[in-house]
Amino acid sequence: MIILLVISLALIIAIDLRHLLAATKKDIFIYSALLVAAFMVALAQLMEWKLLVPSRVIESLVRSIIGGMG
Amino acid sequence: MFRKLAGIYNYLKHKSQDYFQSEQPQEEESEQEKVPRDIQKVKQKLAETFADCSDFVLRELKIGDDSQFKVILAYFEGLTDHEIINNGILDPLMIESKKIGIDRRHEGELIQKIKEEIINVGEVGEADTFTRTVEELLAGGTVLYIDGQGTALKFDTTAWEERGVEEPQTESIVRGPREGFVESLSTNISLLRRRIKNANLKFKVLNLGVQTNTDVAIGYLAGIVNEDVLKMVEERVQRIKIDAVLESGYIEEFIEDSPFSIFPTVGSSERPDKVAGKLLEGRVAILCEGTPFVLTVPYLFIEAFQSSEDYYNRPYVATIGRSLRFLALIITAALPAFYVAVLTFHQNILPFELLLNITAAVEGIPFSPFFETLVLGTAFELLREAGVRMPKPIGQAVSIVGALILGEAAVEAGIASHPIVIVTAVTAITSFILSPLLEPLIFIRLFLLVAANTLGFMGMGLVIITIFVHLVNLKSFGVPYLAPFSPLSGMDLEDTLVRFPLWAMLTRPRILAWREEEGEKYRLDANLIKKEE
Amino acid sequence: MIEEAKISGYQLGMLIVGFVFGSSVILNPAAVAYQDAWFAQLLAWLGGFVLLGLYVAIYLLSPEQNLIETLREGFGKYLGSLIGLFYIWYFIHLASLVFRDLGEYMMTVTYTETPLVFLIISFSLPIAYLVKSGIEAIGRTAEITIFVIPISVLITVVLLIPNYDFNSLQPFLEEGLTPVLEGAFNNLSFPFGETVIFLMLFPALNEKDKLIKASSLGLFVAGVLLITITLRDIMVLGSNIFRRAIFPAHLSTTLLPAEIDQLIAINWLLGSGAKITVCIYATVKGLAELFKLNSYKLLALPTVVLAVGLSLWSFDDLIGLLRWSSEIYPYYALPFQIVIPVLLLIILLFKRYLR
Repeated sequence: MIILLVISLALIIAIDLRHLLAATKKDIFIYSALLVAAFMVALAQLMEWKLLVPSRVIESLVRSIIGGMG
Repeated sequence: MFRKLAGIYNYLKHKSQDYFQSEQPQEEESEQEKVPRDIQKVKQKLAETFADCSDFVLRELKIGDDSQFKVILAYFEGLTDHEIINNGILDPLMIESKKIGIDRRHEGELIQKIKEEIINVGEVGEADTFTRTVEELLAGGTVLYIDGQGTALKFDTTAWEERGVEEPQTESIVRGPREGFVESLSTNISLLRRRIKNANLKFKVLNLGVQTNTDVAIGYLAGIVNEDVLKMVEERVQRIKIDAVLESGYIEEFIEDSPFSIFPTVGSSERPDKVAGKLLEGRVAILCEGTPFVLTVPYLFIEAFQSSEDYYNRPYVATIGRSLRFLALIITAALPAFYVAVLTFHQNILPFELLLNITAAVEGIPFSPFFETLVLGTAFELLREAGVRMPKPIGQAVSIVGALILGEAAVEAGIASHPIVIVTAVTAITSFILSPLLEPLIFIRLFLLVAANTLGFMGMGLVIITIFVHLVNLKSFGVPYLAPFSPLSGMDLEDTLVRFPLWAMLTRPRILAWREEEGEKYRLDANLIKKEE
Repeated sequence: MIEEAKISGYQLGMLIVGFVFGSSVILNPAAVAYQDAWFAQLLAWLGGFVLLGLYVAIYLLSPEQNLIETLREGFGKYLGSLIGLFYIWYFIHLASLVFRDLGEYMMTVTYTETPLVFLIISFSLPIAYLVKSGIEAIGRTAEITIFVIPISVLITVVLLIPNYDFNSLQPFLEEGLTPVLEGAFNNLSFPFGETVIFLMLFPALNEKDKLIKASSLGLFVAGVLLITITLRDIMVLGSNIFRRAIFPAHLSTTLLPAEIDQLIAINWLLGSGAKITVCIYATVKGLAELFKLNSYKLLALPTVVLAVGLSLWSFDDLIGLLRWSSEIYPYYALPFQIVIPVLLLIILLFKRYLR
């Protein structure tokens, strides 16, 4: 599965290659940051890491705030 | 292979604007040399240039009172009219010149005298460079070189064997003119000129093809045409650098907006009335010597549904025709995919009895519906190709063999099922209704088929949306390809799914009249394009 | 970054219709109010007009600026950027939620044997292509596709007439106003309050004078469609089944003659597609604005991939998604949809008129 993930990342970069060549350093930095984030999320899904799942984090936040308000 | 890729890359890169501006200054003038004064030199040069050209004719004559002027008359046999050369040039030169009495005194004004008093050919001109005279000869002219003058006379004597004006083979209609374009550029121009008797109908002739020197004419109606589109066409056509232009398709490929799209963004037609109509709407026509297919730009998606006959019939009939063509588009693009999707994913959409029948028919067929449809579709494309390539009488036999015998036998043998044969046949028949979209439709059908086999209706929906996105991205010479549907242009809807009565069509297509300098490209003042009362 | 005026008023209206209709028709958020769901929806709809008015007012106070720029103006450079970042998170998270809604719906209803990943990735491909093509293509694609939604809703409403039972609508306000208000609150945050995202799209409108007309008409049409569907579902299914069904709108279309419900599903596809597209566009546009990039188009593909990843990672199953959407989402969305915009409006008003 991880191999598949890497292949698809390579595919995405290949699709965007024409734009990437014309992009500035900052563009590429944000682009790669997003890709890394996507990769991490996909990896977390594959490995079933559920510690930092956004919906759960939000849920506990919301519950604590509502609870705090009474 | 890498050089090929580099070539493609360069072409795409040079599609950007600045390319042809830097290339503009041309070095042609310096290359050309004068026609030599000495007639012997001329003869020598001609013999050099046209060595091994068996159809080249070179006549040496002596004219004047006592034959004191040596001249050379040159032309190509087969490109010229013998009658004109004999009666209009040779006769007068050899006989009249003696009667008029040209002698040494007239040497300075000899050319004027010959031009104005002796020759009786319609179009006469002067050429002072040798290259120019060679071009003239190759285009079917006759050139007269005169000793000691340094300038040659050229006469238009063009006449060659050509096909007469016939009914076009590709776009047949029931009601309407029967004329079609032919291979000759001048005849084609005359066919258009006869329909639009208007001094504003302009034709700019260019020369394309390094080896073939093909004449290409850009036709437009001044005052109606969108100047920006015209400028774009001229720039793109002038930019073409190619060895040969044998058909207008060569030009089409170079001036397309998106060369990788499966959809055509340049229209072509064989019908003078259709092209005249497009010119009158403000489009630009590109005529090419040697082919009856005239290109028209900008070409929009909706034009595939418009037939010239729509405007000759009453609006009801035309509207029905339009609706049928839209229906045909849906059927021919989606029917095989729909069938596969239903059989693979959505069986319960069918009425129960029909489902039973289809299941019974499909039973015992060893292949999946997808595979079957693919194979039969391919078989049909093969048959179609065979029908086109084969001599006509055999072609018919092939289609009978293909349609009746092969289909029936395949079903009998249990290779294909009846419903598949029906689906393929209906798809095939309807595909011919939209001949301009024949090629893109093959691809769309295939995409939809694959999507239907993978994800059923949802896959088809996704592919259709993707195609829409692609269409929305397309432009033809600055005009959005899907106009007038998107961007919606209310006034232009009069000539789409419903063909309004002619008296109710108040404006020319607004969408063609976009202007570059306006910030909002597709919003225009209506006065500009309102038809004159 | 100079915004090019690219979409017309009609296109904006169509986008709003698709966006609001979007996934909220798959999961009916007002269903907690049983037979009074339509009333809850009506209240939410009216609230939606108020909220949209709030957003339009914000835009009109800072014309030609998208949300991020306005936030920076209102809250200062650093706090504004931080809030902008939260908004961008909200947008991409919203996209991932809609991805998951649509995927779960398709997997439950039609493609029971297809893996969820595959379904969601196939939705994401056209959307990535669309966002990569830019805002003009988004508007024009909406223009030629979204009109299918009202037509097919009309068809289903007409075809289901034989199944209508008007008694299902009674008794009115059986349990008092509490469940109605609860439903209205749920429904206000999903989908009406989500129109805050259009603050990223307003600057792209080329017919400035049509902003109010186009957006309010879009919301009007979408609200009418939603309420019609709710009424139809209650009358067809009865209030109990309506409440308990996971996808009530789908359940009632299964009663259609000839079982064309699978064709009607194209509808949900279009609506959700519009919604995700707008979300992704707002995300990439916001990112490009936040970091002052030259082009937002480059970011489209990784953002879509990230949204797909988030949609798969966030929930274990449909039940978790449903519970989260109904219990947590309204409170989670509250600051984004109401608190911050109201604060922003007050600050802007203060800056414009009181100083």
